[in-house]
Amino acid sequence: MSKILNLLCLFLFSHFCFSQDWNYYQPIKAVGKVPKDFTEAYFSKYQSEKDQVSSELKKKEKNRQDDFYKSSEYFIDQLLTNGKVFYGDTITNYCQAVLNKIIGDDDELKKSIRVYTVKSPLVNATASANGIIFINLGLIAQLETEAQLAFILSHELIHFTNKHVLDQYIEEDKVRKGEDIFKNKSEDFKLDELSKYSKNHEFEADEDGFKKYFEKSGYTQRAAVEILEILQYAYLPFDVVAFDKSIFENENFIIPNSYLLEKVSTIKAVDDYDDENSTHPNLLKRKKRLNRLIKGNQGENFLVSESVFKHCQKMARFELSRLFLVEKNYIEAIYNSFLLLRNDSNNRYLRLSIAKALHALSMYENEDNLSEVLPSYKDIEGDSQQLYYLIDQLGEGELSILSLNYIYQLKKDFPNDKTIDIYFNRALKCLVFENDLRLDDFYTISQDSLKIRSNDLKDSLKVNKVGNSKIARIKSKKIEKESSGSENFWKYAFVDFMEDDLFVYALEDMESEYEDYLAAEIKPLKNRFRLRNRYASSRSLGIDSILFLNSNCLNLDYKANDGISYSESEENSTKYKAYIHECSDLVDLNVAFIDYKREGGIDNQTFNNLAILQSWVRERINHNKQNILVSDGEYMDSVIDQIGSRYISKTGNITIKGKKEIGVRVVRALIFLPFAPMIIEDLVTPNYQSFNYFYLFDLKTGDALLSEFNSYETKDSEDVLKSMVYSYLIQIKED
Amino acid sequence: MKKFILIFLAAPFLSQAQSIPGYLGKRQVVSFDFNFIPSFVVTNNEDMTDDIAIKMTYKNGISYDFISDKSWSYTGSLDFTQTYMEATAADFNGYDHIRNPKISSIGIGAGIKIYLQHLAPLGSHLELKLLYRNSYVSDYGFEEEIVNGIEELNVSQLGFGIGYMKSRVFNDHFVFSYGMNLNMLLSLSDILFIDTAPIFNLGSDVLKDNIKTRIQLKETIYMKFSIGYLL
Repeated sequence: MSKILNLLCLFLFSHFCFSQDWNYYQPIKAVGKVPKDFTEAYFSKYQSEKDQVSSELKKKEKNRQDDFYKSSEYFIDQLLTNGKVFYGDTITNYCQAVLNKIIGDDDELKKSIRVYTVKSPLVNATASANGIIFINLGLIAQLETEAQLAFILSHELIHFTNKHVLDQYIEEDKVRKGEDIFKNKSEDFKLDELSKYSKNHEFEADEDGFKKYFEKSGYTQRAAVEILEILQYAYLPFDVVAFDKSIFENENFIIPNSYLLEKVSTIKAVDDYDDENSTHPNLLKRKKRLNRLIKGNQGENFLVSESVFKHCQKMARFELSRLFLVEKNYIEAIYNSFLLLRNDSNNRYLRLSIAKALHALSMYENEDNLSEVLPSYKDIEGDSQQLYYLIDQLGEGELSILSLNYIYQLKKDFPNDKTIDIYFNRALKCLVFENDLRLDDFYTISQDSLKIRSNDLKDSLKVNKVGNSKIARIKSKKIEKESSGSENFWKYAFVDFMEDDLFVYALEDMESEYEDYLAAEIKPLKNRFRLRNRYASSRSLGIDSILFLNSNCLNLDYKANDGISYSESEENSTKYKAYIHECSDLVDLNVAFIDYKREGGIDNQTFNNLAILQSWVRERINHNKQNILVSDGEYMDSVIDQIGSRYISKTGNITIKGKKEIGVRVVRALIFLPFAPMIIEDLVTPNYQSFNYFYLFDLKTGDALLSEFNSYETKDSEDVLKSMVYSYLIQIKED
Repeated sequence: MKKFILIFLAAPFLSQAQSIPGYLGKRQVVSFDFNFIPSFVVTNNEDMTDDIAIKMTYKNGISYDFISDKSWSYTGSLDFTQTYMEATAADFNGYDHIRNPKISSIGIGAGIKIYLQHLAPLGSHLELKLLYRNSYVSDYGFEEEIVNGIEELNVSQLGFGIGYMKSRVFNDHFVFSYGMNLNMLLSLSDILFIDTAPIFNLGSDVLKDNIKTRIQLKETIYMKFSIGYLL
């Protein structure tokens, strides 16, 4: 049966291999029926886990396990519904096939465990207590063989079968409560013991995983150690290749070598690092233990399919470019795309990813916030450091010029591409409006032509016998300096495009738009953006219908075991939605909710829409007031058609119940008697700190139409929440 | 000044052009206010003894709020209270049979409420008010033949009040508030320097001063509870 399944999977893989257009790479989408893991209510999942707790356990242990499942199911549910976890796609199916391969004939285990991929660039995999193995795309991108993936899955299987997550929770709970061996022990002792406990789990997962599953599966045993070496350098990109600045250059636009480091910093990662307080043992110790188990070089690197592995690896690497953009890791997005472009030098998706990153960087630079998205090159190791240094060295406006130059070159290669057009217009606007640069600021002829002209001028000055005059010397020096090109390399940025009517007219049009703008005596855009408060109160938007993206409430409680009041959070989320419905009826605004938890489940299309919308909204919120195009913007038109609304809202509430200092308040009550009613009320109610947020975005333009963040020191009571929700909705509806 | 007053008065109506939420669109609150404070000296009761004991002084009233902004409302109030003159002060002019004349007082207030944390009318807020209070002796305690022919003893006072309150809304309609108020009253005649004619041949100023003192003492500080209805 499993062989048939594997064959079926392979058929599906090959179908997808041929269907992917890498130039127009589409983000990975989930395929098929949405699994119950995503749609089942948290309480229901928790209840079914709770029911499995042995009734023979002592009450204390029972409560501890109950607390564990309450917390574990909550966090898994949050992870599953954050739009990053996928099912049924090529990579997930491939991982599942490899997992089936190593599990072999244990059908019971096969039924209780499943794999999902996570759209995260982090090199990581994790197993949950309820039998889900999460594999990050960052890990898939770094793997070199299927055998390495098989070892990781074997390792995670042991974490699941040996209930490591539950054991670790129980141990941490004992530490927290100072029970058993932790009674009256110092914090250092507790930390040390916890670290040892966790490390033992890792050794156990390595060794048992190797012996129980990996060794028997037929994969090459060396892969177990190879993967540890991959983990050692996991903080680096998937490859280390010297960065070539020529990807930004053209015939006349050459970035001076002074913008580059003479030597990049060496890679310092070692495998024998200090792991005293770490949850994982150091890699050298793990390698040593595994080496003792390896019995030779026999076995295969690929048992399911090498071609599908390569395809998945390529997909993961392509997806990384997008994920880095979404997470504002622009330099990593450029370097990742640069690495991939070596095999596909004119790939539209990869070049567009670089264009998006350059656009975002230039926008952040124009707002003097570049440091927010550009880590210090001194903290970077390896060849990518060169790129960090280069971007850091570019002076004011040079990043905008570089961005426009790159995007226009891309536009020339893909003239009918709508998305590239949008970025081209934005880059033009950025150059003219934000940097006040015009066509006249750039040279129209090449550096060589300028040199010839310089020499001609010198000759003519000599011929006219004015070569020794003051004016002649000034002119001559000026031309000499300009033609040397080292200082004003950016002035040659558009020489290649000066014969190009499309470029010249577009720039001139933007200039006249800017002139009109200035003529209207409006302050320059840069200042206007700062002055205009997009987040001002009492906006009147005149919108009739909006869509809410899963709105959540979170209740934190200092008394709760791990700080979260799970049941209250769940109940309040439901109530909050009801308040939104009630208030929307009052203001006559059509609202709909798009979320995972719906009676009868959701369909695959809704699932994929939810995922891309969550990613879009997350990125948009991260840009805050920066008017930057959201990197997933190009996928939004089809999403808008499917969801039937261009306005998306994200709202929620966080309430923290804190500890109260009773003594101080009693004294205060006695001193300030007239304030007694308030002080008594203060005494009997807990200390609260709450935050409520509401965002409304236009998916078409990326504009933040409404963005409110309210902080208040009371409970998230019905009147407070309704009052805020109404105030948001009335602003949306009213003209 | 005229302009300022006009703008102040017109503001509630001008502000209707914006998206003012109120509470679920309701922007008017009519409330019944109950103010009280345990007091050593001034009470509502006739029982004026020299014993030092804490007695309750109180006043009732109604108020109307109009929410004009997210954190701003206009408020107007009307309240009624009564107290008694001090026996010693009233015992003058040979009429030793006078018994604590009763003072009745009507107060009118107008001002603003500034909401500090939540949207009006919720949460903690400051109340700033201008006050007008008219107090008069409603029952002199004289025998009838003496009262006849005596001009009414009437005192007008202006003042200001400041309050700190907290409000909650229940059932989307009922506003429950609690807090405290501080009021300071000045005699209108003192402010306007009006030389009022004596009512009695002797001691009318003493009587008036007594009324002022009593009212001021009574008005100085209150704990306040109010229950309102959102319109």
